[in-house]
Amino acid sequence: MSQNLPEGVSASAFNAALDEMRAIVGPQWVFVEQLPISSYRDAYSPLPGDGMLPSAAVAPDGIEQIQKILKVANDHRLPLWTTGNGRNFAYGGPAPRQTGDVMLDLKRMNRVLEVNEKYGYALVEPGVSYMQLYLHLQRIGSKLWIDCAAPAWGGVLGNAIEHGAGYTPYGDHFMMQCGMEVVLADGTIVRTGQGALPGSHNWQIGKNAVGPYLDGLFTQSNFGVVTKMGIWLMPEPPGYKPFMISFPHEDDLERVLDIARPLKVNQLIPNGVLAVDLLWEASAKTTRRQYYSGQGPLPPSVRAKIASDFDLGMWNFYGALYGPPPMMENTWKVVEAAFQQVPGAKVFLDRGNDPAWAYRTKLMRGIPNMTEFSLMNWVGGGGHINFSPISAPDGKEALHQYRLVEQRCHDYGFDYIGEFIIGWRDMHHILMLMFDRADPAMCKRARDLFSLLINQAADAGFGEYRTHLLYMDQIAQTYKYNDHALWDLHQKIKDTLDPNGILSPGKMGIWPKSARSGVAN
Amino acid sequence: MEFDRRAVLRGGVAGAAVLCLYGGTSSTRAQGAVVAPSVFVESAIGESRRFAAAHRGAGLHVVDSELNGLVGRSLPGGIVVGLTSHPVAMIAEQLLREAGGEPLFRWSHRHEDGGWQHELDADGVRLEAARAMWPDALAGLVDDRLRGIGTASTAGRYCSGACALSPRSPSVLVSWGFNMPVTAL
Repeated sequence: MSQNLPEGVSASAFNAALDEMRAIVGPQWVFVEQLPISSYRDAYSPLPGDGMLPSAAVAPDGIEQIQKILKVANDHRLPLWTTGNGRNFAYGGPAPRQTGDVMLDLKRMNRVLEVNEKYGYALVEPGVSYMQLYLHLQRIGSKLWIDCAAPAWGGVLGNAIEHGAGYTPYGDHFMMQCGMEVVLADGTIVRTGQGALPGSHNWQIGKNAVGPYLDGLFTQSNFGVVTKMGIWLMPEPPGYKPFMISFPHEDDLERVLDIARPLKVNQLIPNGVLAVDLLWEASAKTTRRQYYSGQGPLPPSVRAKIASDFDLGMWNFYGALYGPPPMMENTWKVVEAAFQQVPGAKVFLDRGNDPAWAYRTKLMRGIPNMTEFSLMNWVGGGGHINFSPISAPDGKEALHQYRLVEQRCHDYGFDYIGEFIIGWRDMHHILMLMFDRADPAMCKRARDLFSLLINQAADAGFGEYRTHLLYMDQIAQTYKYNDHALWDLHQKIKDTLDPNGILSPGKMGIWPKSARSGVAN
Repeated sequence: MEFDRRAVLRGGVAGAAVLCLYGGTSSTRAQGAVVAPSVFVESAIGESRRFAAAHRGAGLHVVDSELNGLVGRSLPGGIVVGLTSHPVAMIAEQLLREAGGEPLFRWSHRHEDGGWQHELDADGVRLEAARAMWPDALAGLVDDRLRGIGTASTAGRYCSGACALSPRSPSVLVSWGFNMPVTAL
């Protein structure tokens, strides 16, 4: 039996609620024993033990059951934490924001409802993973590609509404989203965009209806339960040309990104390109212990040896071209000439058995895989959280951000392991902070470093685009323009749509009225 | 699907091929009873291959260097064990728990100070001085745990003696076991 009751809920109310839920979904789909509940832990958590755990979990099979569950939750003021595939690792995984929440587990809702070959889209439920959609497309002989985040088991819907990104030209996942079905806290079912017109065939064609565009309200939020989502899929191009270009010096980052920016903005390179640091590349092939048994960040001499052994640069730029081969070859001449302006640039069109090359070139053509998890072997010990600030695709700004983050990592005894991903205009900087969960001191240093980086990045004008459960409140505080007006607005929307505060309380620092104290208004 | 068990255990699994072979689904844990587990083997890691080889006759579930062998595949029923890297252990544990698996043990193994150090809640004396043969000794300990021989004790730390770190070893490994519902097949 669960040892954690939901906040503010008595044992009798909790048990009554669970009995009502059992009557809705069947007793086999309500979990309270420790064993099934343990699957909702954050396996990478920087907290001791299993971190935040739910009190129970309920797994509905569709929107009718969700509506009934929401009524129970409203009646008993039971906090529900919604999870799709529950694979948001490095940002908290399937774990709830607060111990004791009841998981609303949507994994049973895992149907690919439609694939439209003509217009290039799919309509999916929350439990559909990238691997599942990919295999489905293969099975039906589709010529459409998916765009996936790095781990294949991630959720198509969940990743998009968490503002996740991929590596093909369709890499901005929320940009490629078209149409949603949402169940509000009071059980109302809403379809956005053209889905609000009964009989429309254009729900996944046009993003807008007349009136406000509301889909974004249901991203990184707790304003409703998303139960269906349309996603545009890229038609298989006639040609695909991946490349990697290595650059020998850390300061090359500035020039590389200034070269990349016009190539990206003008869509000569159409996909989500990356500048990947040496150790991110190296960690796909080796481990820190193979090169260095000391404490603290790797000395420059060791970094140089790794670069030499694996024929890598301090920065390694990945991109791809797509389209008819003659067009790709013409574009390639422009791209290659541009980057060859950087002294020491080395072009690779094939890297043989290099596992980093293998998984990246698969991702850039929409083939899901799990290989990026192997990077965790760099330190071993199973701990990992991502620090993810945004910057503009400007070389000087990126170099400044890199040096700031790198120095803080070194101050706290960590290697810098990171990459910059350029989208349409923004750039995501991902710092992969790895630590040994069996080392409490290292875990604490990781937590302290992360907290410091949030504040220092904000002071320098860099906000995060996504974050771990533990830091949602702190990051919400950094968005404080006009006395936290944005989070005030979030709270007003929350109070209106979910007055009892049953949906994912605390998600991204948005708390129900009953729980607000000391956070952003 | 046919495959060459010896090729896998020599590290001869190439490319992204994922091979699943289940043999022996008996999961009784009565003391002294024969238990034939399914063994997850991470084909790129020598210690993992050695551990798998020591479970003679066990069914092998191969995870190659792309780590794709766990996703989108059927999971075995009965007893499942592995000596793997942390990432594979994390992925396997997540999927096995979600499929109703009951964790049986989880032990850690680290290469430090020139040799492998082991932390486990069992009497690990046979690991001491095992040197490079420690995965074989570990397999014996796992077998004892599955047979119900010996009792779980407070966590102990054991050293296998001087042993170089093999070039492709991640230096931090996890041995783990789950009892899966037979309906998971």
